[in-house]
Amino acid sequence: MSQLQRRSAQVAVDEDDDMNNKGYVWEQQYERTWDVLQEDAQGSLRASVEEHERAKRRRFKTQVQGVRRGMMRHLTIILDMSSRMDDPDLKPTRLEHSIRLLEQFVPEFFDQNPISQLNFIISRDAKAERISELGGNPAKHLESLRKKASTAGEISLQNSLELARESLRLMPSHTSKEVLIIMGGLASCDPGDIFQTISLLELDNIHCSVIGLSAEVRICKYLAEKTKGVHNVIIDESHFRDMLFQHITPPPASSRTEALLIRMGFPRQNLSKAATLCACHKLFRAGGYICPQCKAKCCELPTTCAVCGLTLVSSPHLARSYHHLFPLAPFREVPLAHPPADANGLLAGLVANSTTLALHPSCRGCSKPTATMRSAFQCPTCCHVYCLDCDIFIHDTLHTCPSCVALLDGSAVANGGESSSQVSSQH
Amino acid sequence: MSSAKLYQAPTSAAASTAMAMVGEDDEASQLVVVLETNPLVMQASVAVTAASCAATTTPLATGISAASSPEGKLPFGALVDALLLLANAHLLMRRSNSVAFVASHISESLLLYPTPEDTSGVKRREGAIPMDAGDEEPKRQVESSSRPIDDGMHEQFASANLRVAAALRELVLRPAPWQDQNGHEATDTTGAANGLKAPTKPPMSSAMTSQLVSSLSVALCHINKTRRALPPGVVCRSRILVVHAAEDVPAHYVQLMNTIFAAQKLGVIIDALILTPDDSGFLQQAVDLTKGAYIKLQSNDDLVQTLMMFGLADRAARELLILPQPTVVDYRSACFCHRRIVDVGFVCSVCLSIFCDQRGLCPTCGTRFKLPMKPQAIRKV
Repeated sequence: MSQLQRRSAQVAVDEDDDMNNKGYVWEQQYERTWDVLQEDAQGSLRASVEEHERAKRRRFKTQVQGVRRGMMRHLTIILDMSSRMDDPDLKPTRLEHSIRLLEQFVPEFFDQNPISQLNFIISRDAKAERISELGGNPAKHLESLRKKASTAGEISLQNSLELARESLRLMPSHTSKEVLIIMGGLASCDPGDIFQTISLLELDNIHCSVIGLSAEVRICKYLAEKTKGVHNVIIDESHFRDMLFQHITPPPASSRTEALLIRMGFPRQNLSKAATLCACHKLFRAGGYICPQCKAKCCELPTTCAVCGLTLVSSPHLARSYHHLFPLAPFREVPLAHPPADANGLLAGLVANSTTLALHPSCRGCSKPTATMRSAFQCPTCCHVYCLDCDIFIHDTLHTCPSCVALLDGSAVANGGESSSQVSSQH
Repeated sequence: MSSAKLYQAPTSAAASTAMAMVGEDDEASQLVVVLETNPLVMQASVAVTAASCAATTTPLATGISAASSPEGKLPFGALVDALLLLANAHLLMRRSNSVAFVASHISESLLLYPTPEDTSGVKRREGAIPMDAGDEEPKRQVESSSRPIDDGMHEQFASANLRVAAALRELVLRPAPWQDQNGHEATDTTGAANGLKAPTKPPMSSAMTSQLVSSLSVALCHINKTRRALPPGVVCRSRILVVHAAEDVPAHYVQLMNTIFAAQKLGVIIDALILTPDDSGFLQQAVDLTKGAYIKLQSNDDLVQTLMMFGLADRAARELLILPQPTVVDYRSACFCHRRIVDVGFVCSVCLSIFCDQRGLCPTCGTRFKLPMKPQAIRKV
């Protein structure tokens, strides 16, 4: 396991190097973005657009296999509501834009991390306010966020961090404790020594990440470095989105996160049509799930039983997280040495790479002939070839290679048995 | 079952939304049929004999009455005919509707229809069609794309039927992937020089397992592809009909769940038609999570009617139908250590494996657990 951690640390260092080598934007040459787009013989921009898609692919390429991840997450999002958030550089305003992005982020977060919890803290007028308790209901969080959306005064970084620490430090030690700060301002109004707060956060093993909307602030960078978080400053709207959505993937677990066996209940569905009292809302409702320990009824999963405190989940919730633990290996690009198809869709280069065509006549996913592809990608395990569209779909949404399934030994009984073979091969 | 029982008096609101949906032009409906074609896994419920395979070569000519084979099994040819009938009926519903067929074959899954030749309009190579069913048939198939067929059938239907039938016949004669295929051994070395490898051959043991999960992922890849090709503003509602005639493969559980979640994300409905006497736990979950219909075939004579009633109804029409009572799916999990269904289990915080008792070491990921020294007091959160 230590080897795995070292590997994940190595990745982090590599990324850091990459950032440092690039230097500051204002020290670089003009970036002539329009030069990248080039028309082909037919005056189409398609090839260039595909290039862009390939750039998008790089994001999931960095996902390393076999890293221990903190699957149970407690995330506090601190949203700056200072007057700087009124700036219209993000349309319509920074605040409105952030809230709109968070409205996409929160449901996606719970979709990918079903057994995690989240809450919101807002900061304005040098005060911090917790607007929702740690919980798993996306609608509730977003509703309270919408209600409180107004700006005033300055952000107080220290107050918000203290408030976040207050609720996170009590969480069990096997969970991943994270803070995400979206900061529009360049200044913070703090009542005391913020460095003390930062060292306390470090002690409590709370990872703080910052997304800066205006510029890099020294204290934010220091905070992220000390607590092993990520510090990003956005370039534009789409970059903001990317930076925010990178927090959906569970972070690698730190060495200080303890491993524990957690007691969980798998409740049965309540079949009776008659309305009965639920323990969570204290309302009469039909359906629901019965806690196997205390027989109390709750309305939705996953949750914590309101009566006995047992964590209640169903097996699909656990299964939803498996693709983070066993990610699909990135596909390799294979050489396709033929010129692009002409207007009729007929192929000039059909002969050029006859080996590729003979071995892989078509995309394994959508049956698109290899001869008509601009780029092809090969799964390292089953060595089948996929087109760009299928490659992106398989890695972004499906998380399963269609032909690798056939390679699995069908006689193995347990799903655990299958995953154990995957893990042991990574050690 | 009587058809009259299936209809409920539609509420005016539901009826008006259904009417509005029918009227819209910018909506397409896609039906993907996932069909088990591996004779090794479906022999228990479907009769795959040479005679029944031959029936597929004359689509829609015979077999609709679904005459049972001597053992009471459903002949494969009758099944294919009924599915083609469903596909035709689906195409008839709206101009923009489309169908696709995916086969779960021996150790692999294949998109049978539409093939790229179908979509690009390039003629199918004549050599690709085996010449075993007389000379008349292949000739008709080749020409079907260029001229209408003279038996009065709509060209689009006839072409779909012939293509699927031809592809199925091709499949039956094709060697399994783990068998030696001529030519591939020779090209293997040259490919390696290019940094390119030939596809890994699946192990022999995979021949006996259903490739349902693989087919579902191929179907989703196809759906994703079709959606990308749509002009902007057109909505494509897709559903997958799984004709299930095999046993579940527990080793494919994680991949199956990934596939179901992908379908959920795309808004794809998964319907299941079960031909085996036993229920399929996998498909029950898939159907329940994607809000589809889980139908068990009562008798072979009901096949066409069942398909027409449930397979043809789209999302809007389903609101007006009384579907069979959704089965209660048992979402309790089996522990990884003894495969016992557990009510209260212990979950590894690192890899989320489920165990039925306390232990010091996780056999899945090898993590050592800190065992609690004394029972923990319940903390009020």
